[in-house]
Amino acid sequence: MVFSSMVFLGIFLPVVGAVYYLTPKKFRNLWLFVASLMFYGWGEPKYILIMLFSTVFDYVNGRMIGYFDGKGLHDRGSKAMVVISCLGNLGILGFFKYTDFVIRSINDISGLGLSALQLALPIGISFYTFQTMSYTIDVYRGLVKPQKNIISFGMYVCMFPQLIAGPIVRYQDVAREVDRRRESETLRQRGIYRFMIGLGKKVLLANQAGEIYQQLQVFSGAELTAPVAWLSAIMYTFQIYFDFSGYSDMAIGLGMFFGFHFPENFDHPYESTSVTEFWRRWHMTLSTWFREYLYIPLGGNRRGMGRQIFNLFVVWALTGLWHGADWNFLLWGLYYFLLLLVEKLFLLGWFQKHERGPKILRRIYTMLAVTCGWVLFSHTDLSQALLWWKSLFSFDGWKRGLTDHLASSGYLWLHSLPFLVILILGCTSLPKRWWKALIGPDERREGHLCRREILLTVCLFVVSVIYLVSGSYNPFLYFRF
Amino acid sequence: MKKSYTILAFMACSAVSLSSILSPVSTYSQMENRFLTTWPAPSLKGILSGTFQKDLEKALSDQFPLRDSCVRLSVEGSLALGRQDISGVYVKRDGSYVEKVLDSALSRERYRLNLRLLSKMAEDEKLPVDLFLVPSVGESEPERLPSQAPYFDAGGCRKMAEKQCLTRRSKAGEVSLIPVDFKNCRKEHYFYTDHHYNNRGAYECAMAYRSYLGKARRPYTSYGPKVVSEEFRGTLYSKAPWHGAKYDRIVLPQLLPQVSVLFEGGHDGHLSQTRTADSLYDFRYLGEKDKYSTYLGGNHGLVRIRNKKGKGKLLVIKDSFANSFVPYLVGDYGQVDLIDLRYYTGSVKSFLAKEKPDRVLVYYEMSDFIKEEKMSALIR
Repeated sequence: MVFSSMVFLGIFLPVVGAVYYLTPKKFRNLWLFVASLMFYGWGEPKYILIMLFSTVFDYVNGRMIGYFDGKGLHDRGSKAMVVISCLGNLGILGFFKYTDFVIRSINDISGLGLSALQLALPIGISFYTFQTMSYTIDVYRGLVKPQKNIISFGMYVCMFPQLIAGPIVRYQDVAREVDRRRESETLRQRGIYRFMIGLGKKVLLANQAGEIYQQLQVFSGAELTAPVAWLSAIMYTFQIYFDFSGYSDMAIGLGMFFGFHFPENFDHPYESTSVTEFWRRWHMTLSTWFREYLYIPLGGNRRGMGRQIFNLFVVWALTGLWHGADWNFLLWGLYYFLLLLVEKLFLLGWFQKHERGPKILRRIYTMLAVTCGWVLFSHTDLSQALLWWKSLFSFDGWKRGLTDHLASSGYLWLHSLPFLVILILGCTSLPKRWWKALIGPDERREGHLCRREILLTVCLFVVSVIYLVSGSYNPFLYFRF
Repeated sequence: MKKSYTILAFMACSAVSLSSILSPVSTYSQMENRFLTTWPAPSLKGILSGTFQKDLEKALSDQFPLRDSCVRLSVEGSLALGRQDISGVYVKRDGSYVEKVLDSALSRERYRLNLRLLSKMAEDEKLPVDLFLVPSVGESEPERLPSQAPYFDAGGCRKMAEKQCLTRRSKAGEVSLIPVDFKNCRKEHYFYTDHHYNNRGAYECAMAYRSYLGKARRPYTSYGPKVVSEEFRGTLYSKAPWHGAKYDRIVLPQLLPQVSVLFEGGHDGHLSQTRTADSLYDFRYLGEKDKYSTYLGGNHGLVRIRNKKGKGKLLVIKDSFANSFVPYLVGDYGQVDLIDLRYYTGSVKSFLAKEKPDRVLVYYEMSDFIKEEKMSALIR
């Protein structure tokens, strides 16, 4: 099930929410666990079994680590358990997500013609395997105590708000709230508000940008000029931002509704003045995960420059592959490895020297790099990615765009312009600042919603429902994750 | 008071689904010209395969009581943002529409194959085959397109057909492309809100066909055109309805010979249904949204029109554009058979062997012909 659907908004959410608050506190985790399994099984009921397996598997691992730690066998028994847990989780992830990719690659190289398994990728598997791994590793590191209640643990693993598209909530982020959380009217209202902002981002901005992107993707041959290619790349850039950050907002809002505080996932990344900064503000929980559980254990920056570069290489190759099992995702990760390396070695220092220079230039540089990255990200067919890249930069593409096809390029840009302005403004922190100025100092304390906030919530809800009912373009982008 | 906001939010969310569930079930949407998804019955098999869930999701939006208004509002929203290209149609401020057809949606291989199949049929059956490619609106009236909006290369496509076909009248075993040119006639041959041409467009095409066969043009008024509806909003409007959309007229030629008509198979799911009539028009559709279906009652696998005073047999392989074209044709023939490959389940080859028509006319709107996937049925 996805959040931006009638079933979720009209049936699942009110039923789950109402039963949750009518249930005595001690059964609330059980209800969330059951509801989350229903949410997960909605599209592919059989994959509930994987979910239950993950739950039991890491519950046992966590308990065993606790047991071995208690017996003073941290370095042997506990270590073995955390290794087993990581192998198990990565094994599940590898089997479902990467087997066919490996088979295809072997076929391409050797021409063997092995038949692919054609497994449907369990939705959100990359998110929840990373979450459960964070649990056993944190228990092993002594950061959290093992969860003794399997229901509470299952609720953490399967919790529907962030199950399919993040944020990646580490166990240490919510350990206390899993057992004891304080739901309040303020938190519920803030949660609903946050959810509606996310729904609006997804349904009203991301989907519309995505529709324009799809309309432009059909261009080919002489029609595919540089202005068309740029408009298409820009639309995808906005689609993925509003889609992804919208999902995170909805997840965080739903978390608040049930009394949780999930970590933030996006901090206006398109305002960044370097690619390094971009990755500090984009999908923050994934970056944190890779830093905490891979980069630092590999030695981070503590073992000399050569080793650091190697570590970065590994982290970015895997970050790329985490987003999808295909070569373009791997190359996309390595593209950022190179960019970040260049920034680390030269550019950031140079930026610092010229700190007084106009920030806008650095922002333009960052957005150019990011937009070109999305072109690679959005085409699993590498030849297509190259074609679109070529269209962006080739002299011929510009020549055609500014001569024979000037009129049609102009048409496309002109009619996307008003929406483009909204998208550009929407991805900055300006609307938030304007809004805070508008609602006045008394309401800025994040208490109960003020009248204007209620009005905004209602408007977003009504307009989003209108767009959902009308059956306009509404894709789910994370089926590869 | 403040405490009740959460409860209000619950009620608002529930209202969305309850309004769909509690309102009477509707099975067909006149507006969208399609069957709606109704409430699926829960079954273990359906749930495990996921079909129940998918149908429930569809039913929730299909059965939503304000569905048509929601579609309209979402289009108004897109228009307010300056967009003209909505749900595959160009929406113009003057209230007219044009279907968006791009080169990328038309496979040249399919086009070449379809042309080759016509030659094959002509050779196999030793019949004269005439191809009529009704000009797309963007080809004959480019001013109808929003200024500089991308549109497929219709001129290039016509040239391709000209290369592969003869341009003089075909003899047995040959395929000819019937020349047609709207440019010298008065404008407005297409509906504003529907993807078809209007009665005037059909008339011009019929006259082009007559000229090609060496017959004299007849004046438009000699067919007795009569306006039967001024409230037609067609398929393009349904895709992107908004308040400023124009209305079209349905005009029917009235001075036609006495005919008997047999319909077999139809687009409405009653494929085995056979019925007869003594009119080319089904006036029931004038009371519905899909008023273009007044012509021949929409699409059928086979329509046989007999005119006792006419002579000769013509077979027309066609898309829906032929439905309003055929009234101009019937006076010249004793029997006209119309086969719509999308709905015809029999063998065209045996049909030809049995009926032995004098000529075959392949009558399609150009992009429809390029897209037609069932053309190979002609040689089976």
